[in-house]
Amino acid sequence: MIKVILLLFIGGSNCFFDFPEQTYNSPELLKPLSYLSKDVYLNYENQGLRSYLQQVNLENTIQRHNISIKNGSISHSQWLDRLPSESSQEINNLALKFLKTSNYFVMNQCGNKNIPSEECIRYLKEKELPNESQLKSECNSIDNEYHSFRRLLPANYKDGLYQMNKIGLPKPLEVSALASDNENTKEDDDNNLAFIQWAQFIEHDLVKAVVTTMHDGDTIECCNSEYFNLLPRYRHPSCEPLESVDIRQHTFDRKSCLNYVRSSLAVNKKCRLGVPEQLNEASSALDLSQLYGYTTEAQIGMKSKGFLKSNGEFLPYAEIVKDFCVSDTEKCYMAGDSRVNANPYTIILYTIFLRNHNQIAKKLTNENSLMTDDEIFTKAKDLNTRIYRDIIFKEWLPILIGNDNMNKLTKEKLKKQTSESFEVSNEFGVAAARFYYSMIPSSQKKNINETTLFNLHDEFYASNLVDKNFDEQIEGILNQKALAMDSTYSNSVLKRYFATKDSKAFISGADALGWDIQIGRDHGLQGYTEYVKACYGIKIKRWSDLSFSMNEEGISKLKTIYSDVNDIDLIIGGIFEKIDKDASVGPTFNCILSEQFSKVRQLYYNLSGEDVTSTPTTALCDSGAALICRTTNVKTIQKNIFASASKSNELINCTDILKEC
Amino acid sequence: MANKITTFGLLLILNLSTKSSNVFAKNIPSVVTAVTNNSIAKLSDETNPPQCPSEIYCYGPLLHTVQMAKIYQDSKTFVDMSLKDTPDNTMKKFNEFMETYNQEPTPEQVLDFVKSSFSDRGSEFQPFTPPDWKENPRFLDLIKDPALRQWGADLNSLWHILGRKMIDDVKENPDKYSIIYVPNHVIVPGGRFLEFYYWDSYWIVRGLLYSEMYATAKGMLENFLHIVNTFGLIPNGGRIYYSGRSQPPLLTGMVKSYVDFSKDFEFAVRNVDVLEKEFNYWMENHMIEVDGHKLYRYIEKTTGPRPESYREDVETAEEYKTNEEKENCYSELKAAAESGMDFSSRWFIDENGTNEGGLKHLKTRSIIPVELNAILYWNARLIAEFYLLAKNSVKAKEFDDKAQEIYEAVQAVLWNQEDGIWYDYDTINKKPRKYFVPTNLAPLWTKCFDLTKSQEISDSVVEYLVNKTKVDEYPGGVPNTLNPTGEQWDFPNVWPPMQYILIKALENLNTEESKALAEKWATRWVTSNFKAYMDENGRHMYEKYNAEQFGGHGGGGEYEVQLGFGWSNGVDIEFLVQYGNKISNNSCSTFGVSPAIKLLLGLVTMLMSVRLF
Repeated sequence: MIKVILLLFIGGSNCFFDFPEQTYNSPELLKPLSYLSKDVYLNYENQGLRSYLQQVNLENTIQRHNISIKNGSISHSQWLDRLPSESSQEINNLALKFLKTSNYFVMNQCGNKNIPSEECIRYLKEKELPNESQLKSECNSIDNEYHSFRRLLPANYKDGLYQMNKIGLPKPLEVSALASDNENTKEDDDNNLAFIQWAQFIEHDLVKAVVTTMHDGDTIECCNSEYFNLLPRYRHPSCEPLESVDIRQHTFDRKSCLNYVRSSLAVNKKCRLGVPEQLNEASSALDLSQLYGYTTEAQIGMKSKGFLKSNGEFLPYAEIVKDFCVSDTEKCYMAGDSRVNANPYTIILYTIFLRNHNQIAKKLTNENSLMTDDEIFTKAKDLNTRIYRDIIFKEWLPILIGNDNMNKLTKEKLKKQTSESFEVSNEFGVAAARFYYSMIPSSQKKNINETTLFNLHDEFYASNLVDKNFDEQIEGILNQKALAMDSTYSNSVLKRYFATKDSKAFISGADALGWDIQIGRDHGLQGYTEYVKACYGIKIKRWSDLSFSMNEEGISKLKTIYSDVNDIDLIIGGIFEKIDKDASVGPTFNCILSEQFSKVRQLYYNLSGEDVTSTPTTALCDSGAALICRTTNVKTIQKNIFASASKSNELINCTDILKEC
Repeated sequence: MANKITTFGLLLILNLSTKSSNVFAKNIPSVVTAVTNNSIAKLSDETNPPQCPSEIYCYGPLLHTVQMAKIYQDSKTFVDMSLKDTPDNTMKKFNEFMETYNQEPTPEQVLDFVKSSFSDRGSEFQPFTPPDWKENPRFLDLIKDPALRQWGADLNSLWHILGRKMIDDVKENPDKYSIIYVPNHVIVPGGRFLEFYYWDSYWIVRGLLYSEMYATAKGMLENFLHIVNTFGLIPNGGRIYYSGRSQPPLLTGMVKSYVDFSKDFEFAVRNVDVLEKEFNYWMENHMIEVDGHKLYRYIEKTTGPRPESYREDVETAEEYKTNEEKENCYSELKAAAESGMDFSSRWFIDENGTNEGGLKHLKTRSIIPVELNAILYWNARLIAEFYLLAKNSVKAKEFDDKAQEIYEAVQAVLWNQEDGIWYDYDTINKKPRKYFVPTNLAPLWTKCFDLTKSQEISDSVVEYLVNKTKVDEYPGGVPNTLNPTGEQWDFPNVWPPMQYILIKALENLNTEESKALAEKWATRWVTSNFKAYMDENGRHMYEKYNAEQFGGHGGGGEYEVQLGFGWSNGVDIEFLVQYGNKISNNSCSTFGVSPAIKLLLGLVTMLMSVRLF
C-alpha cells in the first residue's frame, strides 16, 4: 500500500523532497499595510524595545531571588544538552526585540483591522524596515555566521507569531505516558546499538536547539527545588515547564514540574520582522563540528598544533567541569560540543573520531616534514570528516531510509542553491532526528545475554567508566541489539532520563519524550497529519484514515489521549508509524529524514562540487569496520557495523581489513 | 474633628473602635504563641492580636506545620478545608500526631493527617441557582452585534455557576469552618476564590443589577450590613482569616447602585446608620496626617503571616532577623492585601525612595493612596445623600462637611499641578509618587474634583495618558503600572476594575476628548475580552488580562490566573450595555482567528439565530 502511494507520488512530482511554497490567501486584505508610513514602523519598534527593557527588568527581579539552574540538578543536564554559546545569547536578545516589535505591529495593525494575523505576519517578512530603524542597524552589525532552522511547513502558533498552542492539546506528559512500557525489551530485527549511537552523533553534528537565557546569559529555571511550578511572580516568560498533574485539582504530587525553557531565537537574515525562527547552533554540513567545535572558541579549545587535544588515547578533560558534566567527577570529558558526555555511547564515538584524527595527523607529520601544524590539522580534519561522511552515506543512511529513498536521493539532480535552502529543517531537528530514542535500551550488557555493564540512568552527563571499559563497551555496542523502533520507550529515557544524583529529590528523573513533544510545540511544528499530507498528498480526516501508516492498536491508543486526529504531535505520529519496508522508520519520518539528507548532499555539492553519494562503495578500507579496527583494540568485526554479527553479516579479522589499506 | 461629632456618633464610634480593634479579645489568651519560621516566639500583652481567633485557621503550630510542609501548590487550599471533628479534638489529635513523629513529620505524613482530619475545600457550599436569575435580561437588546450579544447572554449565565449558598451546618457549627456565615446566597469571583470578596462585589453587584437580579444583589448587601454589625468592618473576603483587614470600602457605593437600579430608596434610609458605622471604622483606623490634612491609607494591626499565603509570607520575611522586623513585613503584606492590589510596585519604597525592588520593600502603610481617599469622599457624599433621604439634615450636613474636608485634603496633598494628575503620596520621603497607576484617576470616577474645571483637567489628564505615560498604546488594555516586577498588580497585567475606573473617570470629565478616549478604551476592552473568551477551548473569563496581548490573559503573582470571573463579567456587561450599540462585528470577531474558531463563531451565530427566530 505504502509503496503504491510512494510510486504514485514520485510519478507526479519533479522532486519528492520539495515541500510546497507558501502563498497568500487574501492579498487584497493586506493592501492597507502597504500604505503605512515608516513612522508607524518606528513607533512599534519603540514599543517593542520598551517591552524588551521591561522583560530585562523582570529578569533582574527573578535574579534577585536567585532563581536559576542549580548544579547537579536535572535542569543542569538539560542545560548542557541545550547549552547556548555567548553569541547565540546575543542573537537571541536581538531576536527578542524583533519579536516584541512584530507583536505590537500585529496586535495593533492587524488584530483589530480585519487582516488575518497569519498573512499580516507573513507580510512583515517581506517588508524592508526603514533605514532609521534601530533594530535594522543592530541587526546589520551582528556577525552573520549563525544558522536557524528552516521550516518544511509554516509555523503553527496560537497567535500566528510565537505563542505555543496548548489549548485542547493533551499535556506532553499525558501523551508520553502512552510510550511507557516497563517490560520494553522488544528488540529491533537488525539494528544494533552502533546504529543509534551514530544517529545521536549525527544529530549532534546537525542539530542543536539551544535554550533561551536571561539577557546577561544567566540560566532560566521554571520549577522550584520541590519540583513544583514556581510561583507565577518568579516565572520567566520563556518558561513552559512540563506539568504532570492537573494543578487545578491541587493534587498532592511532588513530581509536578519539569523545567522547559523555550528555544533561542535567530534574527531573520534579512533583518526583517515576522515569525521568528529558532536558532540552530549547528549546520547541515556533516563536518564533525560536534568534535572540532562549532564556535571559534570551542575550535581553539580543541586544537593542539596539528592534533586534537587529548588525554592519551582519550578525550581531554574539561577544565570547568560544570560546563560539561553535572557531577564533580574528575574525569569529565571535553569536546567541541557540551553534549559529548550525554552518555557512554556518545563519549565512545567522539573518542573514536578523536583517535582517527590524531592517527592521520601523526601519519601526515611523519610523511610530510614540510607541512605546517595548521596544514596538518586541516588535512587531517578533512580526511577524518570524509571518512565520517562516507560511512554515513554509504552504510548508515541506507539502513535508515531504505533502498527506495536512497536510490531516489542519489538520483536527485545536484544544483547550485542559496545557503538558506540548506538549513536543517525544524521538523528534522526536533522531531524526526529524535527517532532513535525509542530504540535506546535501559542498560548495556557485557556480552549477549550476560551481565549488565551499566544502567543508562546512572551515566547521563557524568560517566566515569569509559576509559576503564572502552573495548568492552565497543564489543557490546556492536553486538547488542537496539530496541525496536516503535511507540514504546525504555524507562531510562522515559522516566529516569537525566536521573538526578540527589538522593533526597522526590523525582527519579526527566522524560525525554515529554520534552520532545514540548520542543515540537515550542518550535511551532504542525501536527503529524499535515506532514502526511505534505509528504504523500493524503488527507487524514478521520481516525481510521491513520491506517495509512499505523496499526489498529496504535490508533486506538492515540484516540484515548488526543481529542482530534489532527492534534497528534509530529514526534508521536512518527513513532507510532509502521516501519517502511527495508528502512528503520515509518513513512513520514522517512520523508522528513530523506529530505534533510538530500539537503546535506546538495550542500556538500555546493561547497565542494562533489557528490557524496557518487564514489564507489566497495572499498573496505573506507568502511566503518575499518574505522573501528584502526581506532580500537577490537580484533574481529562484522562487515556492517550497524547490525549484529550473523550469517549474513560475518565477522572479519581486523588485520584482514587493515592490510588492504 | 472629634468635637464636631454628635454625642450619639461619639458613643457609636467608641463602641465600634473597641469592638473592631479588639474584636477577638475575649477569645484570645493573654499570651499567645505564634510560630514564625520554625521558632516559637512569645507575644506579650502589648502586641497585636492574631488575624482571627482560631488556633487552626489563624495562627499556631498546626497551621505552621501544615503550611510549611508545602503539601499543596496553593497555600489557600488548606485553610479553606473544614474540620471533621471539633477544634479541641483536632488540636488534641494534632499534638498526638506530632509526638508520634517526634515533632518532625514528613510532608507525606502531614498530608495523611490533613486528609484524616479535614474535609475537602468547598464542602461548606451547596450548589445553588439564584432564584431571580433571568434568561433574557433586557440589557441584551442593547447589544447590536449578534456574536457580542450571545456573549452577553453567556456572561449572564455565568451568575449560575458563581452562585453559592452555605450548608446549614456552617450556621450550627461555625467553628468547624473558616468560612464566615452569611444569611443570604452570594455570587463569588470564581476559581480559588470560593467565597465572597469585598471590593470584587462592587462590580459583581452592578453586573447583577444589569442582569435584573435585584433580590440576589440586595441579599449580598444585607450580608455585608450583617457583617458590619458583627465584625465592625467588612473583611477582605468571606473567611475568618481575612477578618483582620478590610478592602477598598465600596459597600456604600453598592447600596447607591442598588438604589439607583431598584428605586428602593427605603433600603438606603433603613441602613444608612450601618454605612456610617463602616465609614467611621475607616476614619478611626486608617487616618494619617500630612501638613495638617487628614488623609487615609491601608493599614492593619494584627500579627503573623497571612494564613492563606502562610508559606509565601514566611519566605518573604525570611531575610528579616528580628521578630519585630518580621511582623512589620507581615503587616505591610497584609496592608497591601487590604488595598486589593496584592502585590504591586505601587507599594514599594526602596532605599532611594523609588518603586524599584521587591516585596521586602513594601511600605503600604506609609503611602497615601489616591483611590482610598476618593472612595471615602464618595462614601461621605453618599451617606449625606441617604441621610437627606432619611430627612436627617443634621447628619447630612455633618457628612457633607466630612466630604468637603476629604476633598480639600485630596486637592492639597494628592493633586499634582505640574503633571495635571493625582499621585499617591510617600509619607516617608514626603513626596508624590509620580508613577502611573489607573487609580491616579480615581477622583474623577468618584467626582472628587472641581466640575467647573473639567476642560482644564481633561486636557492635562488626556495628555498624561496619551503622551506622558503612553498607556494608550497597549493593545490589551491599560496596564496597572509600567513596572514589570512579576507581581500581579504590575505590568503587563490589566485589571477589569481598573479599566472600569479609568473609563468612568474619562466619562465623568465629559469633554469631547475624554469621551472619545473612554469609548476607544471600552471598545478595546470588550473586544479583547471577547477574543480571549472565544479563543480558548472552554470559553473562559479571566480575573486579569495582559496589556501586550489583544485577547490574552494575565499572569504573575503568587497564584495561577483564575477563571470565572465575577468582576470581569460585571465590567464587561456594563460596557456592553453602554457601548454595545456602537461596537461592530468586524472589529472583533472575524480577524486573526483560526479556522476552528471561525467555525465555532459560525456555530454560535447559527445557534443564536435559532434562538432568536
